[in-house]
Amino acid sequence: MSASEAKKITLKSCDDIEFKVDIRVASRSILLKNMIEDVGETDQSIPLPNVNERVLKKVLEWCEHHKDDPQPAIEDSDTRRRNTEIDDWNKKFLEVEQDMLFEIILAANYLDIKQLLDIGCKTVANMIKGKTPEQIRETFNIQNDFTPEEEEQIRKENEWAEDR
Amino acid sequence: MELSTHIYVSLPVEILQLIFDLLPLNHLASCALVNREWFRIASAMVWQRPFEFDYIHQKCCTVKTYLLSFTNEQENELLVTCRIKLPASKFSGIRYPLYLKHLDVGAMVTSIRKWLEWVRNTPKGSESRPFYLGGSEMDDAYRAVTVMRLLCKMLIGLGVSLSGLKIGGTQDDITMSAYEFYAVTAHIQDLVVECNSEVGWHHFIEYKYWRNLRSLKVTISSQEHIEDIAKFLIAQRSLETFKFTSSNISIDPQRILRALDRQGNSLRYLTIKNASLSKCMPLYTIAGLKRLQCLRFENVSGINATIIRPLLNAKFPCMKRVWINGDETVCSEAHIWAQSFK
Repeated sequence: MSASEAKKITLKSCDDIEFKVDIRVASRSILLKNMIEDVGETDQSIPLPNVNERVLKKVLEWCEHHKDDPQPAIEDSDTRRRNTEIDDWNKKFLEVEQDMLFEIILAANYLDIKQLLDIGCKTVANMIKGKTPEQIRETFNIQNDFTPEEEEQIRKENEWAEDR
Repeated sequence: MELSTHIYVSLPVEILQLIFDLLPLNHLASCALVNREWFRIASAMVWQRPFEFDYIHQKCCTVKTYLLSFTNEQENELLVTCRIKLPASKFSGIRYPLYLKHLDVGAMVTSIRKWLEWVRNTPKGSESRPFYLGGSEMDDAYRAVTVMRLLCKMLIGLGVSLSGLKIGGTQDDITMSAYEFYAVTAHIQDLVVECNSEVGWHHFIEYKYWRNLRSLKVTISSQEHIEDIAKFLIAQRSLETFKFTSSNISIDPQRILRALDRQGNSLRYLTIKNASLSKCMPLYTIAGLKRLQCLRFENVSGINATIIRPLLNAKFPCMKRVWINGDETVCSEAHIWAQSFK
């Protein structure tokens, strides 16, 4: 194989759709990167039982766009915390239906793509920020399973929750 | 018909934790009120560092919530020594102290002081709020110390998971906190000391009791402290992170670097901020730290990046990043790899 030719591998989604991608693109996923390093070059497709076509396509779009990014450096734990700014490209990329957003997060977690997982979590964090508990329930369609007494009691014991 | 799409269910606990970790504390508190599952995850995170809230929001509800879970005996003690009457309130039974991981003693003391002020201004006989019974000669400062001791007793008794401590302030503050936490020093892995006092450390911190520290961050204001910190460091065996900040740029930490070199071989992250090095070759002093991964000199005079850079890979096989007064060097993995086979 000539060195100039971009090496490719084939990924197979859980609904049996195959994607042929550059190794460099696939290597944004630590899971795939390690797999490729272990197995070496292969013509066989790699099955991804946890990711469907729709999500995989979206995730690969992200990997393609970020294929030349440097690998994330080990950060100071102090600097990382509580910064939820997202750059424009990523913000636009994650302007999707909520279930899609959650599926992208799950896929990023499974495939071990730290930066994608990061911006996914930041997006959800931004959806929570500034909302009352009731508004949060509405946003994510969550049922309140506290009894009214419990809720009142916990509210009292966690009084700062009223502050916004 | 019940809605079938409880989407949040599809986000597992570890991802909710990642998300909550990005939220400021007051938003996290809203999450705790969403439902039971969110409560479990969020309240554990909130009550890990309880007094940070009070610090940000100046509301001091943490103190009250802790006190509400007091036993009769503790309540009586509070009543007798401080003349404070707690309300006959229901308590949900959630053991908030069990969540405690990091305690900022300075923030705790501030909280208690503010809370006492608030209690004093509450009219007598209030049903839902604690109030001051009056009749005690005790001054507010002493009352604060009493409440703090009671709280510490409870937190140390219940907060078995406490592993991080931040102490600071004047010599009295530090002496007092070191004394209160004497019983748990062996559990503490993460210690932050901010010392504004002119007096040396050895007056208030018995270094031999802190045996399992993994991270130590110190801020000092006087050259007097250097020798004490050095002694403290030599007694450490498992330290991975050390951050030194001085509020006085003329302080020379050379002695500390020597001590670090002597204390076992566990250090991975080293930061020195605001200082003057008297010898220009600090890397030789710490050459024994073979596991060092990140080295940061910020605002340190007497150090030269151009001289140091070629030495990095030769001296430190694990080194990944070095910052010298704003100038960053990334040691390539290839270098590290090659070095490890030489």
